[in-house]
Amino acid sequence: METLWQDCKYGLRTLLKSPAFTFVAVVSLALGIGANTAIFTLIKAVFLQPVPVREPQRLVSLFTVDEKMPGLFPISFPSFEDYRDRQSVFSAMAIYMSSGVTAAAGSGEPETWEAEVASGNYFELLGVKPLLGRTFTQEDDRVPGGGAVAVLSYGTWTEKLGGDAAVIGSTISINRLPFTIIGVMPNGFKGIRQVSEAAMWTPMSMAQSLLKTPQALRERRALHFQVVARLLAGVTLGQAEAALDPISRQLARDYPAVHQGRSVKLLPVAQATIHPSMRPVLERAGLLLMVIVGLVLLVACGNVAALLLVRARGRSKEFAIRLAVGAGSGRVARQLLTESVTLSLIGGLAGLLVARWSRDLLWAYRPPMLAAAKLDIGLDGTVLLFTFSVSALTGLLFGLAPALSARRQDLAVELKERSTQGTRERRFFSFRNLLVVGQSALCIVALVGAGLFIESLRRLQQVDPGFEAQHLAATRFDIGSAGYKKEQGLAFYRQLLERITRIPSVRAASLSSIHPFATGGYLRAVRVDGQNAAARPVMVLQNNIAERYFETAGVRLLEGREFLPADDANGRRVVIVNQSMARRLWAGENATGKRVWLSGDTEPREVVGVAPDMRFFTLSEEQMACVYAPLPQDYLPLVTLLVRTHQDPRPALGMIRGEIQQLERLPLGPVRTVEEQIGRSLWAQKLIAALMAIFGLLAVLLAAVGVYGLTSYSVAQRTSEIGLRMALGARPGDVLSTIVGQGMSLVAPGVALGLVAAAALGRLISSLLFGVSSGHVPAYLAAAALLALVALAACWLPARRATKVDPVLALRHE
Amino acid sequence: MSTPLIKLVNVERYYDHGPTRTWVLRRINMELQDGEFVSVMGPSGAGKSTLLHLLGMHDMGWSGEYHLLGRPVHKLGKKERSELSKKHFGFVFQSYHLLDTLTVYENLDIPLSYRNIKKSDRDSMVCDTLDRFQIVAKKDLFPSQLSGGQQQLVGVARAMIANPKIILADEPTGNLHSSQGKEIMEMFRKLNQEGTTIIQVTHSETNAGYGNRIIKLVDGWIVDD
Ligand SMILES: Nc1ncnc2c1ncn2[C@@H]1O[C@H](COP(=O)(O)OP(=O)(O)OP(=O)(O)O)[C@@H](O)[C@H]1O
Ligand SMILES: [Mg+2]
Repeated sequence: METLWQDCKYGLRTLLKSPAFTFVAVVSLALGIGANTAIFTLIKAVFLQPVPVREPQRLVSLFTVDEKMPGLFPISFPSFEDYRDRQSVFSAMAIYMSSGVTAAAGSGEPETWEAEVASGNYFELLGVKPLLGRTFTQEDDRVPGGGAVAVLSYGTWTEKLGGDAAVIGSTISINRLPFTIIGVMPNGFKGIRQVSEAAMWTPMSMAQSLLKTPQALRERRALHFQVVARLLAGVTLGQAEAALDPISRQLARDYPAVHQGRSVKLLPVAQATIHPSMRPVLERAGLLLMVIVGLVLLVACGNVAALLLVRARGRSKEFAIRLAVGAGSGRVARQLLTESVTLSLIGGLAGLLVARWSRDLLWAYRPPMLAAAKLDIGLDGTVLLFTFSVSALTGLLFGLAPALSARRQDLAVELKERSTQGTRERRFFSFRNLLVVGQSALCIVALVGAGLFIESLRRLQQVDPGFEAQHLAATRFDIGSAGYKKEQGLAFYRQLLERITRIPSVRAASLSSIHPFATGGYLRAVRVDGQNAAARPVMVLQNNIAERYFETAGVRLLEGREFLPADDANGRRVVIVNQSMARRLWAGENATGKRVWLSGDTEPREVVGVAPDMRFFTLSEEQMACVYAPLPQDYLPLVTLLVRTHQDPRPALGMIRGEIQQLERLPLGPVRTVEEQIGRSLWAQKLIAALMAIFGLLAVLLAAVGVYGLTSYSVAQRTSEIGLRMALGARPGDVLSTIVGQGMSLVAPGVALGLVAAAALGRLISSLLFGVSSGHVPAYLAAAALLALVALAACWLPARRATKVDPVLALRHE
Repeated sequence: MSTPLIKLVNVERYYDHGPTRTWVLRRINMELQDGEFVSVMGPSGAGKSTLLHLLGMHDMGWSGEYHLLGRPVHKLGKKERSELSKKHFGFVFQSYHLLDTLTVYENLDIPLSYRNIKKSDRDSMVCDTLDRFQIVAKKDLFPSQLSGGQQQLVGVARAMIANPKIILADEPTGNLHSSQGKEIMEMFRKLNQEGTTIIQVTHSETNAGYGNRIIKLVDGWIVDD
């Protein structure tokens, strides 16, 4: 311990004695460790945050799986009841659903809150206690409409209600009904989902007034609900899943139209904290980022190892003396290791600063869907531990080489005066050289990755959405939350469209249940009229729209007509289908005039038009078959207003907002242009491309420092050789090319190695790329060219110094 | 008489050490004819090496006139001087200055590689030289595997390989014992007989005896010629 402290003190002193060396090393490390810490902070927040419930390892989430459709889906309320009542593997099962509600606390403006409507046993099952007051229980969930109580999240309580303990027992207005606040949850409790945050919880007994589609409570087709269950002691997840199978089969017999081919799948609740549809992409993106920052750190380590190696060589006389006076070789090696670990810990501290700053920067570019979520991105104990471990590990890693080479010191040789005749090694495979080869290879991998993602983004941005995105604005609102029922709602829609179209800058306006490039719509099973009832229905996306929808979208119908005022609730049931659906159901025929059955309907609907395909949610999506229904026939209270203007819609956004507010004081989302919305839908691709580019360039920068250092060092070592060569007739150009050639002879195999590695690793990210294969040659060429260019510059600067060598001086030392 | 091979007129060289100026060469005037074998002698620090580097045009910082085969070197730019030097001079150093990381063969190839010669021609020139100096057997060895005398033989071979008119040798035998030194001197005599002009710096009267002329330098002045 004593000697360790001595080593540390001595190490610090040597570091301070060569401030330039220490500065370069610490900056390299700070960038490398900082990037890793920043990314780890985000990864931890998204994936590693424990769910704050009792015994989370025994909690499972339950999902519907369907042979006909890939993916995990929520469950319907009636089938939840069946599973709950017939199962014997869980101690309890709770159901919940999140829903946007209009809340007005005190005299404040109405706002949209995310409410989780949950069964009465929800909190008891999770085993969580409130911070204040009480949580709701089975008692509050007994009588429909009889449990108007609210449990607030900590964030809601502090931010909206001033954090006053007196709120317990007071009432707030939710969807214009009075709710009593009975409790406040502790900070950090978010329910099961960790990436979004509920503002409040209310019992399922209030579902009628809180859910957008309360009829879903009775509808087996409505896969709208999430289920969490607690395994009985001794029951494994696999056993539980197997035990639920017979129930699924029974349901399939009882309700073949809905349950045919369906069963349930259980996931540990830790894996359900992110929606299963999002999780794989996030996981892959997270892994990718970890790998890339790992590469950056390795490149940084390479630099520090190289610096230490050179210094160790410069200090070999010192070590020899130490050995001569009786220090064991292990002792000298330990001294070196202590120094490198001290260095890397300083680098780690500086890295924390870099991490703090870059995390804030990253967080500023977080995706819109994370906007409301209060992820815990603090640099807490876990992060500090991570950074500390990474630092210590890197210190050991890059301190090992010089320490080992110190052990190999040849006492006799070192104590003699060293020859001035340059280095005696001709080894290409010296550790120092291999470092540069490795750094170049790592850089190429990072750069190729960046190139692929940038190209992918570029291709994505060129995708035609299928409609005129220019001069189009959209905003979403929910009149259900203002208490509107169907008749009033339709009247509101008519009035609103009339008012909007009267704005002079507006060309056309319409409504749609799908918000372009954001949300909305639902899947519906469709059968062609006259087809065998047992035949598999086709699942299509349904979009409920108002008149003039396609005109507003700037789209010409391929066949037939738009919906007309006559297509109202009393009119003949009609639909418009998109080209994909027409092709799927009636390939080669005219679709207009054909009739289809939508699931749950009592009469068939006639196709009156065929619309060209368009993208609904993302530019990268597979084209979906879609059926459009007139809003008066398939009413929804939650819709998006689409407005086409003559010019840039931005000046009109305020007016559009005003028109809605004049009709009804609704909580309104932002009014945005659709072009902006499309841009936002690309956040993930943009973020990944930007991060990959930043980290790629960082790696190149660090590698350039490495190449520069190596070349400078070798120029210094080779002064007399260079002088000799000049005396033997070498021109400055010859010297330049010798030195640059030496540097590049290390970079070139690194590039080759990197290209091969990138090609091999590229396959792993191909699923994250759009429209470009992982073998996209220009990305590889660009990466090689960029690194070669930077390396050339890094060699050239010290090489120029070499041409200034005075042969007379260099040869004097005889 | 024909134009001298080398003619120096009032050549001076000094170094500034802060405020003091040290003169290394003072008013050097001399003429050398083609085919001479000159020994430059004098005490340590007299400026012998400086004179050699000046003649070999590695040094730029002197004043006076230097005519090489009638061409005024003092009026030439850096590039032209180095081309001229490359064409006419070969160098032999006291500590051989072979590159440790290259084989004998590769060491011999260095001067050629800086002289726009085709690879195949270079190969045959290296082979001829190996043959001429009878070191063919050593061609794949590294300098550290040779004795001092053998190393200096390679040094001389390297100086000769590009067929220079003049060899400048700075204490070529300084690091060798006498029998090895004799071998090198014999080689110089042979080269001189074949027409190469030789200018050597030496401290040894014996070695000077191989030449036909002695220039004595003391404190930068020619005191005896
Ligand atoms: N770059 C320099 N800066 C300052 N003084 C120099 C420099 N090069 C040479 N000198 C000085 O010039 C003088 C002549 O040096 P030079 O090497 O020519 O002597 P020399 O006759 O070759 O001696 P030796 O027999 O020891 O080799 C010396 O006093 C030396 O200190
Ligand atoms: Mg000398």
